[in-house]
Amino acid sequence: MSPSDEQLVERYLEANDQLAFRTLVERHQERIFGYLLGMVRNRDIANDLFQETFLRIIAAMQNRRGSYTRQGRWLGWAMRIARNAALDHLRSRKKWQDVGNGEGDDEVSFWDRLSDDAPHADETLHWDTEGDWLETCINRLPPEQREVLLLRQESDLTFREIAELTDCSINTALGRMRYALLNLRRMLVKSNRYTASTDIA
Amino acid sequence: MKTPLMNHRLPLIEHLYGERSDTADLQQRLDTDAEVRAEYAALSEAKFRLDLRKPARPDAAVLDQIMQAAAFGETPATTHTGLRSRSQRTPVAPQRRSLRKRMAVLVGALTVVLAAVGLNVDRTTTAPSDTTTVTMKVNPELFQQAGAPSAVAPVDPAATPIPAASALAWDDTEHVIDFHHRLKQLDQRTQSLWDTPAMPLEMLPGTRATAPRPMGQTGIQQVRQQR
Repeated sequence: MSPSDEQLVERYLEANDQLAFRTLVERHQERIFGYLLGMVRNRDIANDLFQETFLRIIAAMQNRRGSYTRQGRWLGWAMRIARNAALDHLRSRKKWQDVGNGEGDDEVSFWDRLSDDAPHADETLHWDTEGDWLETCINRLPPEQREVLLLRQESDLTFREIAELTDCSINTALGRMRYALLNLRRMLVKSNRYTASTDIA
Repeated sequence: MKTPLMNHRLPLIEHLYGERSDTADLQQRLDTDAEVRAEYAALSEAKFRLDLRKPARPDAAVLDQIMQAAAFGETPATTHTGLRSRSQRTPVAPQRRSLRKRMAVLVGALTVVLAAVGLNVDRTTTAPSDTTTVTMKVNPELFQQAGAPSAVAPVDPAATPIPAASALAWDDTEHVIDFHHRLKQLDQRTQSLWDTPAMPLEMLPGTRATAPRPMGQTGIQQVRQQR
């Protein structure tokens, strides 16, 4: 049985076990990097932010900043640091619009949001793979929906953890995820990529 | 505001991601409500596509740098792309800043000195080929009359050639000769007057008063007398 994140952290901090720390990084690299890449949409910047996230994590774990209390789920704590790094970057680029607590989300019509969401015809010419197409669609989602989708789909956080991280209610987090999935589905239909292969669970 | 419809649909998301343990109520709604069933199908389709995505990983070099930092407790000065890492982008301490400023001034001064030396070297190396010697004839007596020290007065024109590059644009040879010629002519015309003793203006030729006036007369005639 593989050790938990908290056990690996303990080994690293108490015995300076580098292998434990490497295991921790490799275990979560896709979750953290996938979120960062989805947020900034640039691989080089995502690499920078990933590195910076872990430098902050190391400093905090070694009590240089003291934010790590060794309580709770390690990934949730690490994702908060990753999110702060991403938001710092986006704010510095002025590409991020501060999102409120999300209570007003439901006042905006779902269909209003979808009016221009479908990718343009010229974009579809450059889609080499299914992945490219999906990335384009995800990038077209409103920021708050995209973030929840990335945190759930890439980082594997629960909706409760997402709600805590993004400082909103769990229903808001669920609502944003619902909109995100329905938006993607709509884009799927508009681009004629809809397949009826998926069965209802 | 959240609508009841919205609240009814949210458990679909929880169920889709395996975060809802109580599924009996939801299953019943899926069986009876076609609209809920259609939405669930749409959500499942989108999730199915998302699950097929390949996970993205950071570059290996980034992982190595992180492991280095973890091992030695040091943060690399530059990030993967060569940018300074954010943790390194803290404001520079004032002391350090003043040191930098001093260094910048020192470097600037050195650059100016080197540039000046370089220009001089350039001039000395190019002087023999493209300089026009402008002869400055200076009378040493004039310096003596003006009370200038004798050491300063005599200047050997041949020893101080003026390079053509530094000569003024109007300092043309023809103009200088012409100017010198005019000065000489003026000097000859007025040479006789310099040595003669001073005399009243009335005595100079070409004045109106041809004869000397008696004492007490100023030469100014009253208007009444003229009339």
